[in-house]
Amino acid sequence: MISLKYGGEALQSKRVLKLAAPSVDVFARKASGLVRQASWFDGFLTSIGTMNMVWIAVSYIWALSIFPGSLFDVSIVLATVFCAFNAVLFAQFASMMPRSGGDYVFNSRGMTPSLGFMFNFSMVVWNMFWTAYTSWILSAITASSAFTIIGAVTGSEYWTNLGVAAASPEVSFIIGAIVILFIALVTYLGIRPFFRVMKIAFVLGMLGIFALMFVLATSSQAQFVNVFEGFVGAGGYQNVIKTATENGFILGTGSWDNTILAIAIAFQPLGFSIWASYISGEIKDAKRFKINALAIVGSLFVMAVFLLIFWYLSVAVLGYDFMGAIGYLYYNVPASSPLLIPPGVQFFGSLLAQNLVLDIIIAIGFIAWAFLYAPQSMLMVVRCMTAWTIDRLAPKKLGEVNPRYHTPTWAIALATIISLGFLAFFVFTTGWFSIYGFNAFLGGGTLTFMAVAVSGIIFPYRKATKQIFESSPANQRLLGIPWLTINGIVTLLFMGYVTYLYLMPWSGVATEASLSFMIGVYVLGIVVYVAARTYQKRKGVPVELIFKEIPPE
Amino acid sequence: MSLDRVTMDIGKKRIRIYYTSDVHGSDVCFKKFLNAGKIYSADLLILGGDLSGKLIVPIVKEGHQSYSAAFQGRNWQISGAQELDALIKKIRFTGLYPFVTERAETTRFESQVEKDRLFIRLLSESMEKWTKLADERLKDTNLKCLVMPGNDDPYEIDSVLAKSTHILNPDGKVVEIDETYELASCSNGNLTPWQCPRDIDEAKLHVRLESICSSVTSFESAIFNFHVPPYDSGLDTAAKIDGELRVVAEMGQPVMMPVGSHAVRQTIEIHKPMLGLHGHIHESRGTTTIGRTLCINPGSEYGEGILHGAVIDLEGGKVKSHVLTSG
Repeated sequence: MISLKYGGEALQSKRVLKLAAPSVDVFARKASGLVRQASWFDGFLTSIGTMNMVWIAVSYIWALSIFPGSLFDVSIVLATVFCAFNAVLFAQFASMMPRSGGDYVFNSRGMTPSLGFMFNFSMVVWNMFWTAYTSWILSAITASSAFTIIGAVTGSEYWTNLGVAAASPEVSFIIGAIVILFIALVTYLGIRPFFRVMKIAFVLGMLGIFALMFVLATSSQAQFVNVFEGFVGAGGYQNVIKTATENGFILGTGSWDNTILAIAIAFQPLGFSIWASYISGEIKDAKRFKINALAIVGSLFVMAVFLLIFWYLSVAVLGYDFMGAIGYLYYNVPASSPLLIPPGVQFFGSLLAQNLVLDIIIAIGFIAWAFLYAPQSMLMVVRCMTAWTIDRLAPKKLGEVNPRYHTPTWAIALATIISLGFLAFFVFTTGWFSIYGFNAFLGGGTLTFMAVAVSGIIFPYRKATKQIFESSPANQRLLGIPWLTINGIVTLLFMGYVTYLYLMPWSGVATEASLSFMIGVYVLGIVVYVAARTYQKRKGVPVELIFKEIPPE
Repeated sequence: MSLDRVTMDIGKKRIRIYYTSDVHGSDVCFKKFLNAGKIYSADLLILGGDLSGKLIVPIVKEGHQSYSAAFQGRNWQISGAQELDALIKKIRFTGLYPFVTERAETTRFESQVEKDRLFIRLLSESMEKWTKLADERLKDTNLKCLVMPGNDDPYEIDSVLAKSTHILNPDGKVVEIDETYELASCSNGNLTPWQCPRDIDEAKLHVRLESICSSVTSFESAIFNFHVPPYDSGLDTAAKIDGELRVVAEMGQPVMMPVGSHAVRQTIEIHKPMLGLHGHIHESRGTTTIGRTLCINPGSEYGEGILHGAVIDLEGGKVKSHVLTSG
């Protein structure tokens, strides 16, 4: 067995490479808190639930319609490799500071409390947006698709019309609002019912995934063409490709430029395996790094494998050109699109199944996946708000828990109201998503990850944090350079690149309105921070002491 | 003055208390605690229990100047005095006790009795170092310092604390501060799955708390320094443990439940003190109110060398302000 170099200055002075004798394990006494570690699989499920397989429905179609010719499997692999650095970075931080709060904890300690709050504030705002967005997805993409398929299979006009209606602003607002209110209720009722509902949704979701996999794996492209044309009319399959091409869609494959650009799309399902660090940090364990790494990095790789499997199945059955063309028509030339609902792989798979039971399993599965997103976002928002109240950065009221269910009523209420507001803006304002939608991946993703990356780079070297790093299981080095720093540098570069991709014209982020909104969220975060500190100080609360470092010597 | 009543003069209109808890053997946290008075301009330092570390890390001598140890889930192979010293410091930073030994000797510690004996020895040695350090650092200051054991601490450490010239162990006593505030303290906790040294059942705990409170003359401005938080207060939420001391998790989340003391809650509800200071549940950092009583649990991250605490300003027989700190 080769032992690595670990530890502080003295230990780094020697190159250790020798056979290790078996070490004697620690002696434990009867002391509170000495628990056996939670299974890595528990954390894994959380991250998989957050990364969410609903992306299988839309990612390939988005990638090929926005970046035609891209080798999206290569984009997936590249995004996985680079997201792994971020995943390990978060796992290292979670092992050094195992408490809930994710980036808020890491950046407040790694940089400054004000920056920690500012980035977390943005994360919270965008997660309220995300709660609204995924509630909309549930209605406008997964539910509308499900209803349409049921209508097609049963020949019921009612279901077909309901499918179209579910994608309309009015109905998608109503369904989205019901979803948000339901999530708020489940969150309010406490953590146990919350996770019971999540567990049920996860099982239903996986059933849907395997049903779709079965349908695609047992079908041919000829069969798909047949059922698709049965749905839209004869010659419909080739018409989609032809019409899209006539309207500017470029056919063909093998574009390396677009493959690199499509990393932005691959990032969407792969970038958030770090979620376990927000909500599963309660248990302290010296081996926590391994558990976190297995959960966070493991879920990333498993998600990548599922994405690749469905990619190859989709290309084989639906057709590479067709997927790009149908997406191009729906999003760019809607008048020429044969579909009135957003195209998704699960929709086409359901068409292929021609079996009501399989259709319902797939439909419920994808509705369950879409549903799984929003509660995780809501829970993260509520937990962060509660953490802010402890640090006197938010009104005390937000942290008050109701005596019956022990959940922060006011924080849940505020998150619900803001999410409903986002939903209303989202469905009733034309182009709202195209202006602000992809911002969520920056303000609620890459920019915060970049901040954590900076914290990771400097953490082993800052006087205030050096000792925490050196005494933690995360203290591992490559040629004397802490892996935390290396992971931070790679993450900073990769997330910087993804941010750059989202600032390109395709996403609509780089508009004045969009950037103003995104920057405005950060400015608002700083304003809230300064206002809270000033208010508390006037009340005589010594807020300047909250994060004041105490020298041990 | 009765034996269970002590007076303490600070002589200030506004008194600043720094309260922390659950340092669990961490040298760096204890040193920070001693420096907290200066950093936070506090008048009174209170350490509310659980001073003992939980694990011993045997560092086994394998040959001339070479050692092995299992620490943080890894096998360490080190050689030389410098590396040994660095590893010892690293282990102490996390609150564990390093124990340099011969391989042949390790078999002696296969029995829990021998392990416990070794614990008491190492813990006592560590506490002696701490009290000496405290006496040294506090001797030229006006700081008052209360250090109380918690449910995790063996009774053997009381005699070590008693030797200190500048630390007072307030356990089981009422400390009268400036004739205005009375601080009643109790180190015991309700029963835990680990059967810790000072765990007692709720009925016995209730009797003990009432016995201590019987020495309090006015609850209006009283402070309860009870190691264990009140039941179902939000300051006592911990992961549910199964019969094999395994955390119960659902969907990757530990199932959380209230684990505080019914007796503590009842005592607070009956006497309605001004302030409750608690620790014990590291992950339940926060403040809450039970009736008129402000209850605080600063939480603990001793393993990372971060000292969580609370700065509380008292004035006119009331809590003027409070804030949770991370130092």
